[in-house]
Amino acid sequence: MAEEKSPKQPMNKKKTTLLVILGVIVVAAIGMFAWHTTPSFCGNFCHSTMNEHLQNFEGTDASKGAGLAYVHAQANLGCLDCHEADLSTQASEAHHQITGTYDPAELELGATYYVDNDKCLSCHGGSWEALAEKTAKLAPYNPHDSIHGNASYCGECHKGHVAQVDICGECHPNGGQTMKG
Amino acid sequence: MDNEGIMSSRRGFVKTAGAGILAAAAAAGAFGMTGCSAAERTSGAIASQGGGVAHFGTDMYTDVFPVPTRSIPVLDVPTDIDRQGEVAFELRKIPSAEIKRTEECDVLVAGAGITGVCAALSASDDKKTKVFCFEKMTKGRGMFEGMGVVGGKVMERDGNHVDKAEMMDRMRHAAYYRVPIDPIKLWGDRSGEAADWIQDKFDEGVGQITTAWKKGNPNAHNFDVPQTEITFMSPQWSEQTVKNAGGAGIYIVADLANTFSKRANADLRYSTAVVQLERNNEGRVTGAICKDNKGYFRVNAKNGVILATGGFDANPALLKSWCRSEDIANCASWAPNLGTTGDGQLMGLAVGGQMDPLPAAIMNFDFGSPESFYSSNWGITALVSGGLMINEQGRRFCSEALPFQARSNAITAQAHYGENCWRVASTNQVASPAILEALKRYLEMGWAFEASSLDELAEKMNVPAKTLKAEIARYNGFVEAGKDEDFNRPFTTQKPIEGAKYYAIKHQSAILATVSGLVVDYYCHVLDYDNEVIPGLYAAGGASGGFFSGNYPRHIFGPSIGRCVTFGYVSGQHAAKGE
Repeated sequence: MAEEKSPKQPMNKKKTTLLVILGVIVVAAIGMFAWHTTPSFCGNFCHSTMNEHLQNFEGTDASKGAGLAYVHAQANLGCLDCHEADLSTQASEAHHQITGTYDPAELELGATYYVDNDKCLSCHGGSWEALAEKTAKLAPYNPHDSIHGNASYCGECHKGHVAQVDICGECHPNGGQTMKG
Repeated sequence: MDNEGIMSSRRGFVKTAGAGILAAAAAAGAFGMTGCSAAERTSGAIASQGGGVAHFGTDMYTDVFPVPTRSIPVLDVPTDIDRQGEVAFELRKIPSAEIKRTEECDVLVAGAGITGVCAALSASDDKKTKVFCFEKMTKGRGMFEGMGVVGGKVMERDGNHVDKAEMMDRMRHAAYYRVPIDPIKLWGDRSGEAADWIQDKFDEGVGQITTAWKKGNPNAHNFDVPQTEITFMSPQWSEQTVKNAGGAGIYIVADLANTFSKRANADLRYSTAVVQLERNNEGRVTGAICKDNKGYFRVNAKNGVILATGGFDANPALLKSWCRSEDIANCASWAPNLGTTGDGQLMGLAVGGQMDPLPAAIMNFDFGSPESFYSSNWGITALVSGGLMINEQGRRFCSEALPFQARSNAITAQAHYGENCWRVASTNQVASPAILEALKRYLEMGWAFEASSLDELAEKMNVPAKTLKAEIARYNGFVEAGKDEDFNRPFTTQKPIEGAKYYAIKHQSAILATVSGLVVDYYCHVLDYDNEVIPGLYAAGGASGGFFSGNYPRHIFGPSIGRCVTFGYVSGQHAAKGE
């Protein structure tokens, strides 16, 4: 009977090995999936092109985190909370990084990772009107309900990874208001 | 307050138009960019994804010409102008499947700034012409104080007579006669009438705006000119509004827009862009493809389309394509008019219109700060206007009494296109506690320095002390003798540069607007390159041309707004009649 059992042993071993491998793959995939949404993934995987943005996000760059990235980091938000990217885009990114077809002379990351108004408004007010209401006390210098008409893009003033730009204050006193970041 | 319109999705915008926002991002320093490759110069302004890298080009601004063009080598120096508005014009053929609906009107006005609201009011004055006025921004804007006119009731009432022939000659002279006959003739003949007309529109409105002759200094550094300025007043404007340079213009445009919107035959829409003109096989402009938050739509304009979109000072990519490099290198953006991206010029060219010869004329000033403009309400004007103009070698380089455009030009003619020019003054010029209080902001920003000696000041400015001291001693000698042997500055009450303290403040060129556009005839019809009228197409104000060359002649009082109001009024009249 021992002989009968003996062939079973390798089968069990095989199964276990397979299960272990599968388990490792699943865990790695879960880990990878989790990792790919974190700032360290962005910084490590695309080190040369993304690192300055990551350092800025962490507040460890020369500017000590000038920009809204660091402010959002303090609120426990990650890169992808603002910079939407699906897995296929990231895979394409990785391909270009690995194959060296990434051209650093081109505009970096701008189009893919652009933060549009809708993204900002999804947390801040919900709409321009509601946002303007939130800052109504700044009138007559309410920057979200400007006599000049509104800037069409949040990022005209609110910068992600560099110091904020007070466009109002460039030409006239703005009532003493300041921006975060 | 409706930002849900055409521009709400920047991501979509990137993929279709490309140039605008990416240039904006790059110019703002948000992302690195070192130029565009040969491939993208030939590929068009389409952003394609290549591992997160967008390709874009500015070739739209040369491809748009209806006639062959060639290039003159100009220096490829960066521009400091970084306020990139969103370009509404599209060069591509917009597929019919994207055009969701069709609307009908008699006259379509593109733009609701000062020119657009004047054109829309004028075209709707007969109470029956159905007028659409579309503005791509959330509000129409204006940055101005005065309006230059020849004749009219207000000038007559206030006892000011201007010789029309002399004034037209001054205008042509200011352009070195690089202008056709009719635009300046139109202004000379009908600006007085337009001034009467706009007062009627103010009376129809609720802004309590009145007009009066404003007497200016007739002789800025020997650039003597007749008195053509009409100023605007309203009891509703605060002191701050009046003190903000050009601040009242916004309220004037708002009042006129409100008046227009109340008319039964008027349709005023914001966040709605005119994108592309349509010209039929018979050569007539029949209307335009427009865009709002529901997408593209066709507007058939039975009698015509008036382009009133202003200049292109909020489009650095177009400035680089159409202006002298030196004019825009170290030059600050002044106006907050982010809508002025040259849409009218581009739309007109795309259907065969004639653009003013390039490089385009700019409206430039000195008083530029490293980021913008030393507006008078910052309280620093006494230092900025009272100091000597000193370059990075420590040398004085022009008469400080020159008109704005000449001082600006002198700055950009210095080493590194005026990147490190200064105003240098002393306690004699900067005595009041209010100025010293205002100065603190600039000391903190590192744009201004205070010192107890010229040696110390020169060190802070990083200019040779020996040169600076010699230049100031020489100038002080001129003041004493009453004659500026170097630049012929007319002395009035100037004091020497001396005292307990010395001051320097960074002083650059600034651009408020561009003033070149589509060449028009006496009725504001846009002409083609054979000087034939393009039926159904009009241009007015900053989008029109044939009026200036090289520089806006800032020594002449108010010809820009004079042209906006007069050409808006005239184009509206003719478009209403379809003539």
